[in-house]
Amino acid sequence: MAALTPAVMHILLSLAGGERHGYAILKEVLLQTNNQVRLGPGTLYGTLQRLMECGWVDETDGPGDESDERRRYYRLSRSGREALRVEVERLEALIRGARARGIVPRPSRG
Amino acid sequence: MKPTASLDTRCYQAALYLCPPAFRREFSPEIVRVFHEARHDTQLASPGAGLCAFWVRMIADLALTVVRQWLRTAWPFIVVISTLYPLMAASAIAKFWRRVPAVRPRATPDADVIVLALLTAVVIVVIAATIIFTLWFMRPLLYRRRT
Repeated sequence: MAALTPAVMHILLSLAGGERHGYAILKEVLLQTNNQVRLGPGTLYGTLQRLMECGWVDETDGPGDESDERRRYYRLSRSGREALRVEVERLEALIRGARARGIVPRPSRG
Repeated sequence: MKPTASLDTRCYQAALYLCPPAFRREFSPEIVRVFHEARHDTQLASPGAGLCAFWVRMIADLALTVVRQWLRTAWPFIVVISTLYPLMAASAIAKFWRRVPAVRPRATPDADVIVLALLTAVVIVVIAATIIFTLWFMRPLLYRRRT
């Protein structure tokens, strides 16, 4: 599987915490990245469209009583979670390689 | 909350008409809603420079979205084929015309040659139309394969 684009990675990660609507995804991405990554609405929905076509994200009715009927909610599917896991493992291997070459310091234990 | 409340939200909504119709129909209300909410939050947080930066980001995002979404449709392919095909056909006819002097019309055009030229033109148009219509109806298939 090819490496995921940053937008795909951030959206999948934000949906890993539960189903969300579009604006909640944007805010979650901002929170995750310490205000470093600001996705635009066009990029967000273009990416969500591709993820739904891939079957990695499903549209849902929303989280019960809290949900706003006018909004569209999205959640991570099983294959989406698997794709995210594979990508995280790939990134972990990459970081291990970088640590082995002394590019980034090894994490201190204890 | 009605997303068409402010003038800039309306402008943004109008700019979304640059996107392909299928994408617009599917996501336009949600995109406008997210834009409206993001603009509202930015205005509360930093009304001056923050709002300018917000607009720059939104315009860049919209431009990228328009390009990406049109590239995802089969339209660029259809435009290239429908431009190249008549050009190549015209070029081939011109070459043939130059190499075969016997086909050239005499000073007074021969009715047979005119009919032949018209028939050739009709055949070319029919072939080009068939290609364009086939590509048009194959769009969902091409689209599915790409994803």
